[in-house]
Amino acid sequence: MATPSTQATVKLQSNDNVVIEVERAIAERSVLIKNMLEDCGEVTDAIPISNVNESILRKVIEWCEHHKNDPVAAENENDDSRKKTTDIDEWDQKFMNVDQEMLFEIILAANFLDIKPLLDTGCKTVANMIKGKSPEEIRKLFNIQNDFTPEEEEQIRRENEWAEDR
Amino acid sequence: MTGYFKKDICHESADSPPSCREDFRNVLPNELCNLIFSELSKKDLVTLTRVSTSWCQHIKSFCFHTPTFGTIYRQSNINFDKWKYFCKEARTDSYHPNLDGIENLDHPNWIRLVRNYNYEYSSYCRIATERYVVELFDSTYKRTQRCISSDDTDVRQPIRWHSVQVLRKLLNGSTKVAYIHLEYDLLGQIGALRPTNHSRSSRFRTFNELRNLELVEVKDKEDTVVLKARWNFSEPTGLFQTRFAPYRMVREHEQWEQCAMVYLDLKTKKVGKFEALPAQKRHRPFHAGFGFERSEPSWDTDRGTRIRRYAMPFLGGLRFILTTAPFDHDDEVSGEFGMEYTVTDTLINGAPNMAHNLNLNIAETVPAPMGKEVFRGRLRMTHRSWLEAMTEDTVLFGEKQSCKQSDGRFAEVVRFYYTIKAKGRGCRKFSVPQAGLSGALGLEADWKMVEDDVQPVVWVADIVLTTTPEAAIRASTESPVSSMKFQVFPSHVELYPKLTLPCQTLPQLQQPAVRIEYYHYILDPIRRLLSLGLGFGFGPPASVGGIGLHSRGTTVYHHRLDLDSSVSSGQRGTTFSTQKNSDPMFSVRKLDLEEFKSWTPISMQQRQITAHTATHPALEVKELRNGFVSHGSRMWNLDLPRASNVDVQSNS
Repeated sequence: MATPSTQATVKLQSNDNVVIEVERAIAERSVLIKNMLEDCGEVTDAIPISNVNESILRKVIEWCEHHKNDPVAAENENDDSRKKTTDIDEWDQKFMNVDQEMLFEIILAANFLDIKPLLDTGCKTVANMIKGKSPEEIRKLFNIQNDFTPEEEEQIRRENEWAEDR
Repeated sequence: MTGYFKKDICHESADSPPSCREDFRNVLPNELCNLIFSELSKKDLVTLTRVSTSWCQHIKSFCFHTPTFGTIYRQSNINFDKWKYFCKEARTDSYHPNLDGIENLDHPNWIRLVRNYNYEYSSYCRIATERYVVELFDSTYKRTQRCISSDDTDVRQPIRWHSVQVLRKLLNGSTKVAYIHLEYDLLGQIGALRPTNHSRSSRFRTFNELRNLELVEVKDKEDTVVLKARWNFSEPTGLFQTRFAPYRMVREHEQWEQCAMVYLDLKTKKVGKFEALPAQKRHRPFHAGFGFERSEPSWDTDRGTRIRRYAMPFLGGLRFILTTAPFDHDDEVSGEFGMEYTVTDTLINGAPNMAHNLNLNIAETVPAPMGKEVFRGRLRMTHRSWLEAMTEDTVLFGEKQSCKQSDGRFAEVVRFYYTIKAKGRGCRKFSVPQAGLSGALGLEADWKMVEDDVQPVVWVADIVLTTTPEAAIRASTESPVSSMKFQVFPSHVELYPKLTLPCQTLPQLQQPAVRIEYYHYILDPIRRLLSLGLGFGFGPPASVGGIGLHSRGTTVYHHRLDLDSSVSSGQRGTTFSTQKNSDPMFSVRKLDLEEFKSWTPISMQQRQITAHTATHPALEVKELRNGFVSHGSRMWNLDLPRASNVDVQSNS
């Protein structure tokens, strides 16, 4: 492993070749970048973030900036603790208040950059969109075609009867 | 928000153009989709199966492989309708009470918590945790018992029941064995068969171990789960082998197919809350189940009286001892007598396992240094015969329910009944159709009027153990960290006025049978706990009707049901229906928050006299003391006349 670098900023290059300079501490919210910097030491060139375009990258950086002082979750942290906190921070809610396409891209970027808190926030946001909705509402929400035949629909309704209040 | 994107499109809006809406399953990889699904409740997941065929497949695949689901299945060899099971889980999950913000009337879950919902736990793995009726049968014999677990782990839950008469077949003539206590571990595949105290056969003691107990089939039908189990015996003396040649011990590592086997069909029937309560033999609430692991009588030299100790198992290995003892101050001015109950930590006997006590420190109001008494209360009685019965034939049964809160805390209720063996006076008589058992089982072919050893319950208490977050305690106190609240909520005394009902005429006896039924109506522990928490007072709401009495000095609550002509089928009684709209207490039709708020304890004069200044405010330990019961931050004056007209025997 290279010796730890003291450089203050790093350059990130989106897949549409836009270079964005950010504070190293902010960039290191991404475990992927952090590991890369630790491995490579001083990095003067822009780090290519191949799976993320400029707009999403800026959005992710915005999130990292806001959360730069958050404690980093331990690696071996129990997954249960993550699930127990179902609420999303108010700032995060506003941050995630984007169209679905961007929301999903943020999730993908968070997954690629290995930013677990952002990934969790994204997944919870999508889950919150689903919670309590009827199948029809969900179809409408995600533009899904109902491809059940009436018979299939009836059958699945019967199967699911056990979950319904009686 | 200082975003880079000016447009502020709400992703939740289904009104946005379809181009902005996309099935995330087409965008995100499976693992991310599953991450999203993992945030959803089971009920939501069930809903998602109706979105489209591909969603249906995806969701079901997810559901069957998520770590929180299917543990049981993976460890068992049982093949049954997993999706149906999952759906049932989804429904029962939605009824897990959430005690967070219990005092907040706007709690979104409240309505669901208190409604009379005949929620069912029909999956076999929950048999031991919830109330069930277990029927053992082999086509000719059917015996129904209620089954209560004494353990809480999902994986290892012993099922206990009595009278496994079907095993008589094996004994072939050993008809003296009347009661057999069989317990087995569903997934551990171990079992123990032992005669109970009632067994009159020493022979049966010779083989006392079940080997390779295995559930081989689960059929999940409407309202019924049929289990088929098989096992073989081991016996220490060889008697079994010699007498019952077709059967032999299972050798180590032997396959079932290679040895003789015994099948036992276990038909479990779900019992709803109120369905379980009517005084039908099969649904009696107070006879079969017990949550106490053991009880032992002993002699208290200080008091000069006989006492009984009951072990109360709680979650996480917590053990408390409930001790009951009669007290009689006949020579004193008060002339009071009754039962004194004491709850002590098991460490009082120097139990080696002290781990559970490390975080336990009951509040000052009920001081509980390690191994000491944590609670003491008294039940005043109005009839000395009760006292006599208690010293002679008291039977305590318990049933346990736990409710999980959203943050993982538990409130666990152990309810115990104080019953009286009235030696025929308070017991029910019922006919046992033994004629149908002749033949294969070798039983007597006579109809018999058998005195059931079912006793009317005269007192109920809920003992509640609640875990509380340590952080909250730390913040408000400087005392040692306490993670538990331990509370005793003595409940109402129940009366079972006899009601003579027409019964099947027994041809052999050539006379009409008389069936005496007793009635029982109590809140289930969890709902009662919730209602207590909300401060609406004790006991059922006034709308139930009846007479409520209060015994000074404790929160014993007498509630006699009016069994007059207005009581019809579907209300209180033997045919108490579990239909939503026929429940007088919590019917969906009536369920209204305003109405619930207006409930008042029956005949109970309440007066809020002062704010309760607990020594340990964070712990809010309830305390019963001379007619006052502190109730959270409030204190109720319960100075009411003592019970006078509640007398089981006079009605028998």
